[in-house]
Amino acid sequence: MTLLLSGNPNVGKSVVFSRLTGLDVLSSNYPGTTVEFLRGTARLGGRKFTIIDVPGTYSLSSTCAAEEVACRLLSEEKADLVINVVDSTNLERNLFFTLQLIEKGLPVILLLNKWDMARHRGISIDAAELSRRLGVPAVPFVAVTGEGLSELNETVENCLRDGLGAPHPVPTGDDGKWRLIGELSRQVQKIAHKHPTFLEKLEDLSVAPLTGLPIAVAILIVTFYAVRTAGEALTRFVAEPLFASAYRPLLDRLVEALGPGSLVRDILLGRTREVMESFGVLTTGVYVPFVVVLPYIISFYLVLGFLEDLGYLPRLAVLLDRAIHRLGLHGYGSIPLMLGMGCKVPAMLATRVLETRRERIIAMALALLIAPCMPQSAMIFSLLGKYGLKYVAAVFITVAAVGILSGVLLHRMMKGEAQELFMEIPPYHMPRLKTLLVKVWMRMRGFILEAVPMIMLGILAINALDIAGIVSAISAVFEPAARTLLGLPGETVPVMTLGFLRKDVSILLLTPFHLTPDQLVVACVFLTLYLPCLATFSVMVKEAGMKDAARVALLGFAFALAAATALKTVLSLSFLWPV
Amino acid sequence: MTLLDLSSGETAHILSLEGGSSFISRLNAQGIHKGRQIRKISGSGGHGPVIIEVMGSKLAIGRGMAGRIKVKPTQ
Repeated sequence: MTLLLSGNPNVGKSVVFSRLTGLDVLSSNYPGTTVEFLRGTARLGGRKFTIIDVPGTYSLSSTCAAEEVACRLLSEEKADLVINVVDSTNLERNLFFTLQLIEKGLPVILLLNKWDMARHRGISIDAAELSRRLGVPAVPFVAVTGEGLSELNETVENCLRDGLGAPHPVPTGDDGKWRLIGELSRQVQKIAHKHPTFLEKLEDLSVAPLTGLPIAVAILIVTFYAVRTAGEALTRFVAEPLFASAYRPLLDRLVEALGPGSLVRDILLGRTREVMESFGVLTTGVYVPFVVVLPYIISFYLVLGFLEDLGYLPRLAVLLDRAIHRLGLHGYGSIPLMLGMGCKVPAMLATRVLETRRERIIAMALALLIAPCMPQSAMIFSLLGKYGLKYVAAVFITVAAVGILSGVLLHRMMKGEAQELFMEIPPYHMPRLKTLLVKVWMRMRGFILEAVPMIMLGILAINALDIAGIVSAISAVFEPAARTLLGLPGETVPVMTLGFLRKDVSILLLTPFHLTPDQLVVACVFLTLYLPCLATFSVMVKEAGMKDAARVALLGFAFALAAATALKTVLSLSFLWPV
Repeated sequence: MTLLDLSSGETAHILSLEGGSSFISRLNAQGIHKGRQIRKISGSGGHGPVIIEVMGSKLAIGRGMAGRIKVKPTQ
């Protein structure tokens, strides 16, 4: 049997889904976290159900790709039950979609989620009366704690045994529906007046431009330092010592066992003991993902997760709306860009909430070009940080400038106009520590399962190519171009071609060439921009089609070449400016 | 007058929505429909989206869209 979970965005469908299925699902406090449907199974009312978490939508007529998915599922999937998750703190507004579901003749059960929060805010809802007036079952529920689960089970069991019964007729037009909703909420809902809390006052302060902009700047600065400090501390005080005391001795024993000079030894352990330069699958291939990159992944997603769950991202989107309009996007377009600072794959998926193809293409290009992903950033910090922050800043500023330029250009070149922001702004919630840690764990697990094998594969590949003599062949061919345009030695070219596998690997592979800081800056800029990684590109193809994905990638390549060449020229003139 | 002309903090009723049927149904689905009472929170400074409160929740609306929402201030 099939059961659909549907409802408005940001009512907690994904939390209900994890509660029912036991699967971990990403959830956040902003509309549009789930853009793709998810499947799981659960036993409810004594029967086994396939549960589908449908992306949130306000109505059954779609305005974006994520809503299209929802509408298609609701009309095509022959659901035995549709659980309409509503936000009890926002009952009146949520009921519009409920009426649309009932109108369509779907077998609806109303799940009054966030029941505890409603109570806390002085909202009391007579669920039995609501159920009677609509003619559909209504169950109070708290997804984060599981309160109401046994009532839900009972209700499902009753529905399966006795059938759902006929719901009351629904008025056809939108105005009629809203009139009915007005009457309903007067009859079933009481709202006690309460003074606004500190968080509620902060809500309005952080979107009004006068107070919001200073708050935003402060948050961004704190974010940057928190990520950097926590990342560095984790590397230095946790990951490094663990590597040195627990892992290194194992390696040394392996060295003894393998004996000197074998091919297997070269591939597994590399040719030097210097861990960043040996390129052994078990030395560099373990050190880089776990000691250099993972700490930054953890610190970044702790901070991002906190801001996501607090509900800050949509407020930043409002503040950025005006500025980002010049790049052809409305404020919501800033959300994929922020996600892209962690990883480009979820960023590409998040472009689905944008309304037009034009916006999605601009958002994809911007997300790719405006900043490196976190693994790459971690490598850039680790490689360039020791020469001084100005080199790191040079990379990030150049990359950001290229991203902005690409947006301006696409906005000018592509037909059409920027769409307008139309977005719900959720209230602030203090994030729950457990939810936050589960989220960080999920993203960490994603990195370990998907990225670590690719990093090792990349290192294995460069070893194999080197041994087969292909590295020197490629180097010879591209030497002149690399040298004249980018000022980089020809040996770096094969490294760059491998960046397509994983961007952090390509930057790592620069270590043994002992480039000057200036050369490293140029190489980092080029490697950040020149191509999306394989995983990102395949999502782009899936989301936008081969043609548009290739166009965006090509644009990035052209920009990378131009920016890196320009930067090389500027840096080579630096004797003109006394530093 | 439109939502743009309303001052921040003021309450008003929606008189009409000026636009095509998809525009209207998109706004209707989020509770912006004829007769609904709303309160403007911010966006009177001449730039940036307008933020309003509808049925206890907050919506950000681009200025072009806001200019097509006709309102009458509540006395």
